[in-house]
Amino acid sequence: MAFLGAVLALVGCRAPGDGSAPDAASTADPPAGSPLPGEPDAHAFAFDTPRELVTRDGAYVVTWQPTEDSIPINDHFEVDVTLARNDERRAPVTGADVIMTCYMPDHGHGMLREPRSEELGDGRYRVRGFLLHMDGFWTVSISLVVDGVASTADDELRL
Amino acid sequence: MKASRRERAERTAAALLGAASLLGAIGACRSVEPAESADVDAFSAPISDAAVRRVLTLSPVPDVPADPTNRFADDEAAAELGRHLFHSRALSKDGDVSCARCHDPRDSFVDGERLAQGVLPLERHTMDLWNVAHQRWFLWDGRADSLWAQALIPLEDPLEHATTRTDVARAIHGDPELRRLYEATFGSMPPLDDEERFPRASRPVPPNDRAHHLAAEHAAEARAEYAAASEAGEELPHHAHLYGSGFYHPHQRAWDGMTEADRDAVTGVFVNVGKALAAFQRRFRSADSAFDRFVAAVRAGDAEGLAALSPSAVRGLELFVGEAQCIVCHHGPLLTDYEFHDTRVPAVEGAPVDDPGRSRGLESLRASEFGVTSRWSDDPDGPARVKVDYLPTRAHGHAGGDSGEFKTPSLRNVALTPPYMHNGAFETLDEVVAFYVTRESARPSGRSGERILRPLPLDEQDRRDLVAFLESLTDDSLDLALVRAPAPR
Repeated sequence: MAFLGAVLALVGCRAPGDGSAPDAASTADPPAGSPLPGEPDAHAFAFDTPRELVTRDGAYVVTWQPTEDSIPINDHFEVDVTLARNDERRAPVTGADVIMTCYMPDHGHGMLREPRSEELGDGRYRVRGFLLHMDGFWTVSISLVVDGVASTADDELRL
Repeated sequence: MKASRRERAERTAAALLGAASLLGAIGACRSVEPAESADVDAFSAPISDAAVRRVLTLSPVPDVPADPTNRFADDEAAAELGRHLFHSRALSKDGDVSCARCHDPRDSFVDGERLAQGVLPLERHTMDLWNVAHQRWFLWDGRADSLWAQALIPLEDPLEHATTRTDVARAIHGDPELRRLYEATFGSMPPLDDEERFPRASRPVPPNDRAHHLAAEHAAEARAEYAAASEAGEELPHHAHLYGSGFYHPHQRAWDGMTEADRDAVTGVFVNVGKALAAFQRRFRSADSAFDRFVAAVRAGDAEGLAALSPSAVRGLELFVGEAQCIVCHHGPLLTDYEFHDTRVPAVEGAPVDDPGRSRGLESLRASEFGVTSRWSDDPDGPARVKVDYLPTRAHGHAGGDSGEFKTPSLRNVALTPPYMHNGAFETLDEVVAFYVTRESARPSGRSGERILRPLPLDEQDRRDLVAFLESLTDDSLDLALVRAPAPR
């Protein structure tokens, strides 16, 4: 019956056509006849954000979240990334190249898009051009190149 | 395990949806009132709780999405011109090919052939056009990013209509009815009967045009004939020595002889033809299948409405969204993800073994002069832009290789559109299901092949159930009066 509660929460909190994201960590069926804007069958996946990660080498803290607080399945979205040194001062990391990719290891392929990042200042970056065209298990890789040295943080999504 | 799964599928799912109060809550929130006659104890959704959530995402089909890149998309006069153009054989080199010849509205917009036939044989299967205006990419390899741009490709393809944009414009100009319909929507045509300014058979021939491949094949044949004749001491074929070097396509030569303003005027007419054809194709709706009625019944708590699907189709639906995992790619109301995959479809005679699919499609898309961000688009900086701004430099294929990926087709009306796959490899839905269940005929795995496709533990009855479900996606109630050929004049 836990699922029932989720269904009620998702459906009940969402007026048809308003395009708002569900507030529970689950996929939601689209409102009848009125999908989210952009693509014909988009529906959204929400999860606890922001996601805070530490790069494999322990050098940086990477924080990321979709700009709309949820990830639409099979529609385009953007991500905000914040980079900081992994020390007590948490100094923002500027001038980095940020490369964020998503991959489906069970399928052997990733996205059919190549997102690009733009630096906004104060260690903040906007990465645009995401589209997760299938639900399922996705790995997320956020690489940052600082002064020619690459560090990578890893995350996972189960849509 | 098998028996218990089937048992589960057939049992009453009262715990999930059997309670009318719950359905009432869902219905009220969706502004859908549950059927008054729905009895608390009588209603049951004959699918598992896990399936319900997924099934609700598959129906209803939403309205046809807006296309700001085509400001005539919802113009009825443009659609009516599109109907005439769709059925017109004048838009072909020899006057014997129309859009409708392969995409016959009386036959679910397909030709029933394994591989399509234009003025010459084609290497892929004819796609049906049901709900085509919902698509994100067009053609098997997605080399068009709008419906109007797609409509222009076959016209100038040397294997399909094999005509030129100038001849298309001239054909409309020279036909009083077509010209009247055109000018009522798009305004006055240029003086296309001035053959000095608008020569027949003129168009740009880009480097990736198939005309070059045809010319190269022809040149190779001519050189072989020349060599054979020379060796035999026979009279040499006229001009054979000129073939194959510095080929200047006569269409391009004629095009280069026009002024830039006249070239733009012709291309403007050509683009309008695409936009009218796109406006017409927005009529090709299929949204009221037995499956849609079943889902509506689940939503509304209408026990009687559940009979829209046979028990076999219901079991097939449970498999489709569950164990068979078809829904992984075939999701959303059109039962497609609108994107591209290599499912390792076996090769067939007459089609290339190593069809590059999406790899080549991406190259063609980039080279196209008619993209959604081009100057011919009515909204080049609008919302459609995002889908092309972040395309990868190459498809899933490895460096230097081809992806072999093809677009996931919609499954609506799939039972009406055999054969199946991009190369028509399978004649029946039974064969398609067997392919995905057994994987016996799958091509050897390439690096781009979907790893998740493994043999499935489904028996003969399961396969029949899946086919029964696919057959429940049929709705060809479209009013033929909206799409049939205009009455002869």
